Amino acid sequence: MTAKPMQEPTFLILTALAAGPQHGYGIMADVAEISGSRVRLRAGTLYAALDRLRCEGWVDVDREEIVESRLRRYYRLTTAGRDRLAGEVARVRTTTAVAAQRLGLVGGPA
Amino acid sequence: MTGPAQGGPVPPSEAAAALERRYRRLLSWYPRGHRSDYAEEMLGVLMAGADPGQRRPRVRESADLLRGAVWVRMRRAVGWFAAPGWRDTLAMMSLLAPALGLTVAINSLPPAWLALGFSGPLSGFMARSWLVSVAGPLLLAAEWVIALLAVVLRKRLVALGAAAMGFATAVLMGILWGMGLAGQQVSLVAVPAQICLAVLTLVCVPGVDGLGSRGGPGGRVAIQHGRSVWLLIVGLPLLAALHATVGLLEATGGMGALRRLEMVAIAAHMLTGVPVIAVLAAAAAAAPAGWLRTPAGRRALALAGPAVDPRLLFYLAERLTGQVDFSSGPSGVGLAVVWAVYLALATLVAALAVTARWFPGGAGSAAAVPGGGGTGLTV
Repeated sequence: MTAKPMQEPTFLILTALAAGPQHGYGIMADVAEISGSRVRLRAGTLYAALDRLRCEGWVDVDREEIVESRLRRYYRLTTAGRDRLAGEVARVRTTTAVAAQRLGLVGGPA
Repeated sequence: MTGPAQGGPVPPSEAAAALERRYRRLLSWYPRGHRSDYAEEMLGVLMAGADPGQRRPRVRESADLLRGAVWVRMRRAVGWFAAPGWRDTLAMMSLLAPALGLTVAINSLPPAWLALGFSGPLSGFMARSWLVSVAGPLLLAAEWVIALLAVVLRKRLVALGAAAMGFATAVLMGILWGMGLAGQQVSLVAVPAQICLAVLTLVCVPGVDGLGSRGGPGGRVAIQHGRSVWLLIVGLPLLAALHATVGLLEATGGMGALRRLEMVAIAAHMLTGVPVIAVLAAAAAAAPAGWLRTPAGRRALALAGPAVDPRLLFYLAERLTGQVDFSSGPSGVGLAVVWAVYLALATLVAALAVTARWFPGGAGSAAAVPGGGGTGLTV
C-alpha cells in the first residue's frame, strides 16, 4: 500500500473527527483551532472534501439533527479513516524525526 | 458560533433572508445530487458563520463556494473513471498491452516477408522497405519482450524505457511509411496499433494509484491471477511466432506472386485468429479467479483487445467499403479507419489513466461505494 501524502485540509478534517463525531461548523471551528488559526476552511472547500472523504470510505455520517429548523449532520471517522490518519501520522513522524535529528534539535519530539 | 443577533440599521431577519437567498443562488452552481445531499446543511453552516446584519456573502466565501462547485462537478464527471474498478483495469492493461504489442509485432512479419519476397538483392527502395517493414517489427518485438518481462518483474523504469523505445520505433516506422519510403506494405497497418499499445503501456505501467516505488501493478496482477494471465501473455506471442514461422516458410518457398497475398493473409488469420479466441477462452476458464472473470479484466480486454489484430480491422473496413482487391496495397479508407480507431483508443486510455491518477478514489457521489472495494488489486 503506497499512499500519497495527505493534503493538509484532509489531514486536519480527519484530525478534527478523530476525537469524536462533529457537524460541519464544528469541524471548521476545530480545524481553525488545531492549526492555530492558520487554516480557515470555508464551506465550499469543507463540503467538497467531506464528499470525497465519504467516497474514500474514511468518513461517514454519524447522525442527523434538526436545530432551529436547519439540518445538522454529524460526521465520524470510519475504521479505514482512522487507519489512514494513523498511517499519515507515522509517515510524518518518521520524516520530522529525521529532520529534527539533522538539525540537532535535542531529543527530537518529546 | 455567531448567529444573526442584535441587528444594526437593518432588521436582522430581513438581512438574514437576503443573505440566505444569495447563498442559495451560489449553491445552485453545485450539481443536483450534491445539492440534495448537502445544500441545506451547507446553508446552515454558512448562516451560522455569518456576521450579524450581514446581507451579502463575503467575496472569499463566494469564490470558495464557486470553486467547490467546479471541483465537485469535475470530480463527478470523471468519478466513473476514477473508481477502483478502473484502476484495476489500468493495472491489467499494463500487462496486457506489452503482450499484445509483442503479438502484433510478430504477426506483422509474415505479410512483410511475403510482400518483399524475402529473397533477392536488398538495395535502394527494397532495402529501405525491408528496414521499415521487417526490421521495424523485429525491433518492436525485442522492445516488447523487454517491457513484458520488466512489468512482470516490477522493473517499472525498464518497462517504461522499453515502451518509450517502442513508441519511437513505431512513430519512425509511421513517418518512413508516410514519406513513401517503405512502399505500401499491408504489414504497416500494424503501425497505428503499435503506437496505441505503446501509449497504453506508457500510461498504465506507472501504476495509476500513488505511483509507489515498488514497481507497476502488472506483476501483482500476474501473481494474483496466476495461470490465466500467463496463458495469455505467453500463449498469444507463441501463436504469433508460429504464424510468423509458417509465413516465413511460405515466403521462402516461392510465394512471390502478389496476387496471392490476400489469400495467404486470410489463411494466416485463420491460423491465428481462431487459436487467439481459444487462448482467450482457455485463459478465462483456467482459474476460478481468472482475470477475465473480473469486470476489470473484461474492461481491459475490451480496451486493449482491438489492438491484437490490426489487419483484421483493416480488412473489415476495406470490405465494408467495397474494396476487394488488396494486391495493390491498402486503400485510404481502411487505413483511415485503422488510424482513427487506434488513436482514439490511445487517447481514451491516456485520459483514463490521467483521471485515475489525479482523482484517486473519486467515485461520483458519496452515497456510492464506501470503502474502496474493487477486486482488491488497487495499489
